[in-house]
Amino acid sequence: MFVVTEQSIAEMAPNDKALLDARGIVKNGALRKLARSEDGLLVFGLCQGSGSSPYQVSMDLATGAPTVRCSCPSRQFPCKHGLGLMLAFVHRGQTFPVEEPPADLLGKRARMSARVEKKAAPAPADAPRKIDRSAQAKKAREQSEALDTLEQFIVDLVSAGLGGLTDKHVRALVHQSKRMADADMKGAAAALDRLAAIVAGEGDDEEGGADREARRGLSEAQQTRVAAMITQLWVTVRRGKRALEGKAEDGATKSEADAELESILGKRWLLPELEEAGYGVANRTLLELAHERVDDHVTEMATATGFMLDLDDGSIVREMSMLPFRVLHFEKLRASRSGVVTVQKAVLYPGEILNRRIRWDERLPDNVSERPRSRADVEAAHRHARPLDALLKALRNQLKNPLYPPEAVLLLAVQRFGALGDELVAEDAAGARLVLRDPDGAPLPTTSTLRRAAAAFGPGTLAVRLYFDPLARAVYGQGLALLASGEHLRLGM
Amino acid sequence: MPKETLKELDRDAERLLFAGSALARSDTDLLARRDKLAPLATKVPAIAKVIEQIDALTRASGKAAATELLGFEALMAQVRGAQAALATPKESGELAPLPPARRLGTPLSPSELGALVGALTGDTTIRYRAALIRDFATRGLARDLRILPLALPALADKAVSSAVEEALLPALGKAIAPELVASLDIPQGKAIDARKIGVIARILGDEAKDLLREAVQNGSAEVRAAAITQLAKIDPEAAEPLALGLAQRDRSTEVRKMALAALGTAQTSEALEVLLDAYEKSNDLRPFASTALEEIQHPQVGVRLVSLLVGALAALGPLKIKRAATREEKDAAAKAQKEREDLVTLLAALFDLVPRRVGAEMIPIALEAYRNHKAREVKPFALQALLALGHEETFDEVSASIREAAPEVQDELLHALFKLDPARAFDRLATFFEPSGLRMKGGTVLAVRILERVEAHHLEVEETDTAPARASIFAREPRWIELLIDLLYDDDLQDRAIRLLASAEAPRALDALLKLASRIGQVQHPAALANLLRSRSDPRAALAVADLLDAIEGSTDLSSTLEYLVQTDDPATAPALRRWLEGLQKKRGKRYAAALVKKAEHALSFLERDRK
Repeated sequence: MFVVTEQSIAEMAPNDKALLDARGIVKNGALRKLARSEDGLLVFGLCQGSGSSPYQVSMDLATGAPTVRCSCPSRQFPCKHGLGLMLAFVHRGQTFPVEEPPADLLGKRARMSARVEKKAAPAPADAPRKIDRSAQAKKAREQSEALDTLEQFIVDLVSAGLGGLTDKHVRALVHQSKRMADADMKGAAAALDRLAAIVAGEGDDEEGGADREARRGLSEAQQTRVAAMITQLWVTVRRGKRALEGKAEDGATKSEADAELESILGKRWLLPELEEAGYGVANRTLLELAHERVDDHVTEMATATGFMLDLDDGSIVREMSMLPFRVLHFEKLRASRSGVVTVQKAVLYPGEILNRRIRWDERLPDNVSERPRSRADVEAAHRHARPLDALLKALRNQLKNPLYPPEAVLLLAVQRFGALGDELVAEDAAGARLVLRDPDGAPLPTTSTLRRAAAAFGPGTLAVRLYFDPLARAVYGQGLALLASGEHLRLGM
Repeated sequence: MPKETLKELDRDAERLLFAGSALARSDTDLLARRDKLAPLATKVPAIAKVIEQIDALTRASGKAAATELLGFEALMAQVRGAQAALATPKESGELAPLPPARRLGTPLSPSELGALVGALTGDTTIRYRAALIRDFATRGLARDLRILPLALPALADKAVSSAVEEALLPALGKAIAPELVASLDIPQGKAIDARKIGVIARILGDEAKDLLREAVQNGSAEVRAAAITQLAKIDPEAAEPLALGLAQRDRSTEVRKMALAALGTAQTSEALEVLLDAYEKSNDLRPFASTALEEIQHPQVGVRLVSLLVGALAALGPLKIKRAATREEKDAAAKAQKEREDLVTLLAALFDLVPRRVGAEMIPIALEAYRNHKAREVKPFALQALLALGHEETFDEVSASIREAAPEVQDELLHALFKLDPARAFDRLATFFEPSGLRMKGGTVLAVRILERVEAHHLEVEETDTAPARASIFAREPRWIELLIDLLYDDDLQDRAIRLLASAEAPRALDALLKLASRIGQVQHPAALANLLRSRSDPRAALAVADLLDAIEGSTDLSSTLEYLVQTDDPATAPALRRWLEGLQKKRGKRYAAALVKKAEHALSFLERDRK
């Protein structure tokens, strides 16, 4: 059964104002006639709002996560009245009198249960998914043509040299980006847009457009970024063409080849597809080490990522949710998980990277459960921590592929924290030292927080993002969480 | 050193992308490095690949050269990854220990943290930033390690600085203290440093003494002013000599003001003399000296203040305007006028302060001044003092002429009367509600003012949480209820009487309202009456509301009244609803306000449903 807590309510709140208002509603006594059903799963009552008559508000826990209903006209979900009811339930739910729930609520509950059961029921085995072969062939043709134009475009740029990019090139980059997006190659489109933004001298949060002008000269850091992007686009073209022909790169594994389908050709995996392709995993016990949200103003997408430690094998996987900015008012990104999650059936996305994406179906009955974190879980995390040398070796393998992210979150066993000049340094048992520094554009700087945490709690296991700084051509670390003295300190969002 | 050469080639690849493939194929540095690596090609396959790619680049021409250059850069990206090394710290040697820090956890969930970070950093999507910060601090959620780096910069943000200073930083407590102290600029400190001083003193208490002393002695004006205020709270004995020095000699008026206020914790005669001197002589410093004189624990303070008041009263004569012809005479007249104004200002302040300090001892002086002083400006100050002291004879003296008095005097008197006792207030004020009194000029206006005061007093009591004060004005003096019941039938006062009676707990107040509801023709605002009755749980209220339907027809409250009848679900209200509905359709026709009629029909069928 879902346990409603102040934290889970805060996670459900559509925004901070709604939560603040909800607290006001509870404090001002606007909630009246609160009652609960005999099984304790249905809570209901009235809330005096700005309307002339009180709103009917209820919370149903019968289907797992709370279903909150309110008769107010608010478009926010849950509304402040619903959140208020939940808060009142947390504070004094045991004192609510037991009453027979209104008939309409029981009716809604029955309809919802039926829907959940219908969704959970396995699809008939004899109903194979329909594959539109002609549509697939058409898309492949379009992608092939788009890759050809991109190849030509890059060759032209490099032939003349990237040092002479003009306004005309910025416009051409934008045009090419649209072409890639039309061919459903969103990764390449975003890279071209970012390239145009750098060349035009815009910050990440500025509006782009075809009439942008080239900036005069690029800094060394910008040159490095531009070179890395061009290289990445080039590799995208080469491997994309081979992938369209159904050929894998020499020596590439099936997992790498499948990952390219996603990163280059914009394939959107469905859970059954991944299962069929052999990426299914079972019985995973996961502890979220850190959680972060990244807003990409070029693609206008917000991504929430939880870095989950598999307590059995020590790998760190990413549980992600992505939403376009425009729907953030109505939908919420993945919330952080404070407990330990046990998943019966999940899939790991393909790719030979250190932090593979994990996904599961929350709606499957009994597929996911969450329990409070125990000391043994933290001890298990400590056992999975490795020295710097091993972590660096693993990262190097990932860095060899230009299409993979130049960073990974890993567990480092820290023997000692200290300062060298103004730099924070973590040292492992073998004396290897990692300089801890926030990468450019980090959503929330964590190094200053780590400095305090390390001073107060001492060394321990550090969940660290090892990242390759292209300008310094060296690997730095950004602390994301510190497990020390029995505490799990999250350093970022 | 093949590794170094490979690193140089990596830089070359990036450089050549910017130079263009035409130049790349004949780049001398590239070729030199190729030759340097060539001997290793047979032993290391990766180097052989690099050599091969450079050769392909040099051989190619035109667009093919660009393709090879891109291939070379892609290859070098792989080499770069395979050779990636840890960054070397800028300095070498032994690790220095980290500065000590207090243990603070990270309890905030990401969404809570996001909201608080947004509120602290000026995220435009976060509304009510200051309220949000206070909310987190009040609920004890702000004590999160990740907030520490953001808290101090937010102190400079005017939109949230008060919330940060008053709620967030104290909530973070000693965990933030080292940073607060480290960030403090004592010699050049500005307003933000003064705020920090306040927070430091609040967090560290006694431990902040040395820092505060240093700030008083070496700080900027803002810092000195804040430091002396805080030191006086923490260590009055140590603060007194410092405050005396600042109050008399500091070059900044603001510092002198705060030093005077700080002397409130002093106990010596020297401090009293300094305060009285500033109080008497400076209009600017007087409010601060006044604060201190109200607090200072010195046996002579009352006597000295009374003596100052008596002296000032004696010095102030009636206003006389002399004719001035020459420049000297005009200057002298202006000077005399200024001195007189200053004396009047001093007297106003004294009549405010002395009653608070000496209490009833002040009454004879104030009474004498109110009745007999030659300067007419003194009279309102003296009256105010007497009212504040609760001197009943003054009430009798003043209330006789209250109807003609200025509104502010009326307010003062009424406030003082109710503060004293609602029963005595009734004794003195009931006479103004007699029909003859109401008919007099200004009678209704005064009656409204009195009812406003009854309402304000009632609300004040309702908002007070202390048990002895909780009894309502109506419980303490039931005659007010009788008076209000009578006023229900006064056209001018009915509205207020209804409102007040609706808030009274007494059963006869509800009886009177129900009786009024039954006399529809005599109700001025039936919708308001129905609204107030709706908040009462007595079953008769629903019936009365149903009876008022006809009178509130056309009101925007009609729809919600129908909903109320459904909620109360009292079948006894059905006949009244049916009567009204049938009357409405007869009067207006069947097509009148179809939605409303439909709603009424639904309500009626609900109330008349079979309940077996």
